[in-house]
Amino acid sequence: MQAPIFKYSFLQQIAYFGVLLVFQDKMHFTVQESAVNGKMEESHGVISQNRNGNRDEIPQVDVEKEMVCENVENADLLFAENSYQMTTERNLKDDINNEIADMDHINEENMEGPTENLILEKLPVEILMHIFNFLDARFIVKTLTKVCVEFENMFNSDIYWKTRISKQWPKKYPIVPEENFDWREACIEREEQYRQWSKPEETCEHFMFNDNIFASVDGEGTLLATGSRDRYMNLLDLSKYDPDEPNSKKEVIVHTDPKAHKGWIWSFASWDGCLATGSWDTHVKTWDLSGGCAPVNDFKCKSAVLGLHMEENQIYAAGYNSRTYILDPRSGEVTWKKVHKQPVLCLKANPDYIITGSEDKTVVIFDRRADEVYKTIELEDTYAMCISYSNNQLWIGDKNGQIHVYDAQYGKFELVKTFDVGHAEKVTGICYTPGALFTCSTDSKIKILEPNLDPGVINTLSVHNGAVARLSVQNGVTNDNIPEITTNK
Amino acid sequence: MPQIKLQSSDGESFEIDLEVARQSVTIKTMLEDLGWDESDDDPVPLPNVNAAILKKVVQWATFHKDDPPPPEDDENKEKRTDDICTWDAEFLKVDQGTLFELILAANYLDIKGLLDVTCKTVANMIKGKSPEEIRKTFNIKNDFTPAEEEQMMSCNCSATME
Repeated sequence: MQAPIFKYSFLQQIAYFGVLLVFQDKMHFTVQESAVNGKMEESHGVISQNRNGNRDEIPQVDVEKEMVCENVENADLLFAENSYQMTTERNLKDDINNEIADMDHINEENMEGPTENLILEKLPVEILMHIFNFLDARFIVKTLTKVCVEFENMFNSDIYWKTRISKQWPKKYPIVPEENFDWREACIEREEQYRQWSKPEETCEHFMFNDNIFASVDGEGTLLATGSRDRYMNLLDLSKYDPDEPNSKKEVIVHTDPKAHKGWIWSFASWDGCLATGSWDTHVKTWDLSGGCAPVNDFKCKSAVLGLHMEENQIYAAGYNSRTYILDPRSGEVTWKKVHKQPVLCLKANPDYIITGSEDKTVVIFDRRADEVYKTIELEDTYAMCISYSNNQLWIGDKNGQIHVYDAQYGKFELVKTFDVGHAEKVTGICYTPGALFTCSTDSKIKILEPNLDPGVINTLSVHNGAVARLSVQNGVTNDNIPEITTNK
Repeated sequence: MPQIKLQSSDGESFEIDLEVARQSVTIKTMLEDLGWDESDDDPVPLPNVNAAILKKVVQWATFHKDDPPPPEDDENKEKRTDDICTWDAEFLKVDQGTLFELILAANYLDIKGLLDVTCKTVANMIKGKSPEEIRKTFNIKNDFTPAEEEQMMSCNCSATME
């Protein structure tokens, strides 16, 4: 008769083993009496030693092992005897031979049992993992891996980090594959962003400036630049803010320039300590942030500047007159391209492409090397208000409150999906980071979203009364800076 | 209330409420497989748990017998370690060896609540400590070569420079 026990190999092996141990005292005596070789004596010594530590059941396993090795015949006999006792006592009519066959497995399992005083290192890896899963990813990387080689090796593989991410956030991530994707860094980022934004009242300082700020924001490090309808440009050093010191709010403003522009300051960009401002007065100006915000360049475009991108020797500006301006800070030269039929509202660039979104319901990807339009994305019944382009992902926030993500891998720029994340009006700002996706809208809401497919909302901030015009995210992917998010209305 | 007998690895028997015992998935499965019923008087052998630890486990399970079943998945759940209830905190004021044995027992008996709370307790002992403090706390040997350590130090520096 096949007993149900054999159906569940692992559990039942343990159960069998348990029964063996129940009878171990008897077996133990047998061993002691019959064993005359040194090996047995040695084993016995181990038992006594450990008995003092009040952990007698574990070393007994050792004896059994030793015994099997040293005296196979004798062992078989003993096992048979014990098994027999077990079967009669539990009223199970099992085949004794089957049980003996199982002994091999049982002994294998016991090999891994702790044999010394139980210490953390000696716990099975899966239990250590369970413990360590309660620790922050960053703490694991910065501290735990430096404790000993075993701990270091546990967290070396991408598999651990990948699993850790997918356990907490099972939706597809990253949405678009990346070569050499750093799963460890991504895990740290996601955990920290999630922790920060799920309880912003505990993790963030929120403070407001009521004067002088209207149109745009940009940040670099702890510096935050604000531009305004009243033409003021302000530079704020957020590190000077002390929540316990009410007067510190004034000290935060490290620079004010009432004559920066003759019109609304609508757009900002910065690169390497240099700030560019774009205004309705048709000028783009650059400022040296390290040198007290001294003016550097002044470019005149032929229309209001709605968006800016800045890099080493080039500035791109989105023109209300449908042109994309190319500004060279070295020569002061101003050139332009026309790839849209309506005002250009937003603009992003990387070494390969310039991407512009326009009221003409298209997003144009311009190939910088070929100097021609590479691809035109047509949006149905809507137009792009803002774009984010990084990590092979092109995100577009549109006039109707929806967001779209495109696969930009290998220059594909194919629509992956359109999401409604709950914005009731225009999405005016969008920023993707591997840790979180940020959006803001004229519905006065800021949303922090999961950076995966079908992004769930981590939090919705309703800190503004009016439309949120811009959003700037400083995200310390490679350093410990607490990411900050700044907005304007 | 039906009772069940558990037998520890060192042969001690414990008679406890069936409902308390069934918090252990391992025991629950065993009983189902064995077709156990109330008239059964045979003890259920628990080979990996000694009497001292089994006593603690039974104590824990008795206190928590009316707890709602723990959630299956950890999806989207922040891994908190500051949510250990006062009773558990007091209960787990034991030496490290006992704590680790409780973890092993909870793992073997498959009692998620006990496994989580004991692992959280260990996690709390690790949290906020430096590598050296962790080694000291758990008596772990630093087995990095001096060259490896130096490399780690330099990595640290460049990380803070960024």
